[in-house]
Amino acid sequence: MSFVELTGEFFSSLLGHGDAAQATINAVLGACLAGLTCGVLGSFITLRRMSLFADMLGHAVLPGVAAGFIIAGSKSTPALLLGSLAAGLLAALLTRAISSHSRIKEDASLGITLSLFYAVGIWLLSWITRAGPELSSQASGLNHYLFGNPAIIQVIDLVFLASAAVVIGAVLGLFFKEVSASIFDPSFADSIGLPRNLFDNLLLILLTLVIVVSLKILGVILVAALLVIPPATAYLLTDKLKRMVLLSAALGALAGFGGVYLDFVFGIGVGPAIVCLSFLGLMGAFLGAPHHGILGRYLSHRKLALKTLRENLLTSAWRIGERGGELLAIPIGDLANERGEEPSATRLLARHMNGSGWGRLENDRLILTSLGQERARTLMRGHRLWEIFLQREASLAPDHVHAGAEEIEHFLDAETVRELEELLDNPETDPHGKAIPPGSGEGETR
Amino acid sequence: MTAPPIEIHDLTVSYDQKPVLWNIDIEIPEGALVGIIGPNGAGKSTLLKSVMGLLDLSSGWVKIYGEPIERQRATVGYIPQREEVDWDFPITVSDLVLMGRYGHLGLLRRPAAADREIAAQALEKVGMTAFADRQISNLSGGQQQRIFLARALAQESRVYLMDEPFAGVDATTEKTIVKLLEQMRSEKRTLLVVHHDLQTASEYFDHLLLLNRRLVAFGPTGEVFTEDLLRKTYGGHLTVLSQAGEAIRQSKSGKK
Repeated sequence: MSFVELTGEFFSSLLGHGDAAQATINAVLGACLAGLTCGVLGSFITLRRMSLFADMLGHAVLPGVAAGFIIAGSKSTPALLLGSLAAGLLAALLTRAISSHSRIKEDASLGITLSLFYAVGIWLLSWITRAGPELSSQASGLNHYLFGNPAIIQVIDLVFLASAAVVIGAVLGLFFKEVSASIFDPSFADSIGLPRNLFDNLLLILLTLVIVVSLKILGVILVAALLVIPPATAYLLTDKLKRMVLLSAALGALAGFGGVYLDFVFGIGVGPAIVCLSFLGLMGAFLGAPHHGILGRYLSHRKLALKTLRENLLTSAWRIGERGGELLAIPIGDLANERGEEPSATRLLARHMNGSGWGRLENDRLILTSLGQERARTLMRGHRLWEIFLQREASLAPDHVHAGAEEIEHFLDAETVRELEELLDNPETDPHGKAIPPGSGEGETR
Repeated sequence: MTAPPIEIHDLTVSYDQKPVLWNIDIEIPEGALVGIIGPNGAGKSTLLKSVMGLLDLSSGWVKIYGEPIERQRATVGYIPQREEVDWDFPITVSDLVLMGRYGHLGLLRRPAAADREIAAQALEKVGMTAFADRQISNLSGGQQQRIFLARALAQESRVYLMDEPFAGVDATTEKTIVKLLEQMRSEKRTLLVVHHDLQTASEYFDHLLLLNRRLVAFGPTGEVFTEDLLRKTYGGHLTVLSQAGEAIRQSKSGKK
């Protein structure tokens, strides 16, 4: 079948048509619930720098799955969940015990428990296949826990997923302010008597819980992805914790949905599809996030560069006006002379003035508006005050102060200029003997 | 006689079995503005943390108005060093200041309009109202220190312990902090401030606590800010204490 036909079949089975309808609906519900819950809890986990705990616990529940199966003698969902919950909590305890009672640091301790528990899990699984027909005949499908397979999600799995979501949402909702304060400022949290260790342990228990109920979707190896990638993406997109939690939940659910869909259409496996989709989202935020993205930073850098360029033209114009030249409509030739460059280069730069509100290129002249003149005056004033400051306070020679002032003039705000005036006692000429334009009005616009 | 705001009795504190504070014994009088000075590693921060009940004490006890700190947490506000927190944390300035109310709210209760009002006033007092909705990482060091101070003000405590509030701040912030300290003293609050600048110490504080592993002196600034006592605090004669401390650590942890 073609891509379009498969897409049509996917959505029609979501609407309840066809043989695979129930399985598809279960898979989508399961993946979305897991993504949502992991997204919420993962926000706190990553901020608390416990991401590696997610990875460790994902691996460490494997022996619990196997042990639950051996004890129950069948793939009874509650038995496997209880087994993995026990294994996860035991692994968390062991990790803490190793790092707090020896000089071994937490990351090493995590590596130790991860590999130990995973090894025991693999050993138990291989023991099961050799344990005689009674057990091994039941065992087919246990490896779904290794790699995940939402196609086998049943209603009981959804009930567990939903219950975990409610528990985690309720606990984090109730203790939102305490948990966030404990993560942000541990000393302060202690000082107001918050039981910080209790919250840490609570996070670990909830983490084990969400991993256990999400196992069938992603498997032990990939489950950490949903706990780390969507929260990390949300962290790049917002500066508010509540928004980060909601956004991360939405991204997680979306990745879950998209993962099931991509698997349905391309058969690439739900787990890998979820991880790759989440990573694409992360890349998008990495590049395009408004404040913390590469692109956003590049654009604001470009904006600043343009402003600097325009302001340099303004100060050149001011210098010409100062010598008695035409200030309102300066011939490009004069401007090029002043700046020591080819007229063609100056003309190119002057075009960038259009749209600034400070001036424009017209009939090969730079026309300054009153705003532009005001800005030029403010710039020159800041520039020359700064030169005096450097000379007096930093003991620089008069011929060394220009370059520094040339850079700083674009960044001096009104308050700093006032401080300079006060400090330097309102001087009238700069180190080169040139007049300092009087300060009047603001002129700080673009 | 009412109990003093802070009474420290025969306090010894150790890190990794190695004592860093020895037999500290002080009573801080009500309404005192106390500067804690001493060289690096003198145990200044440790002293504050011990009073706050954040460390295990090897011996001795601390009482706040005659009671253990656990029962007096709402009475004491603590300002940790600025470096101790993650300034990239997704939280706004006003949310951070609002944390000052958490101790009064107790578990499960959400901040009410009155709490937000108190937090807003605290922000106003440190001149940071314009930054209320900013994310905290976009602030200068001095501004960060000021919002830490605002959070403490929002706690409305009678006693404050401040760890190096003047460290690495700009002139405007320094002036703001000095003004606030003065104001808090006039309101009869008791303040314990770790300070690193000897030049301003005698100017800012009415009492000084000279510390170097042990209490060198405590009293009104005029009486204890003397060359003799400062030399005792910063001089080399106390290295014997750290040698002894090292010896204790080694024998207790079974190393040689």
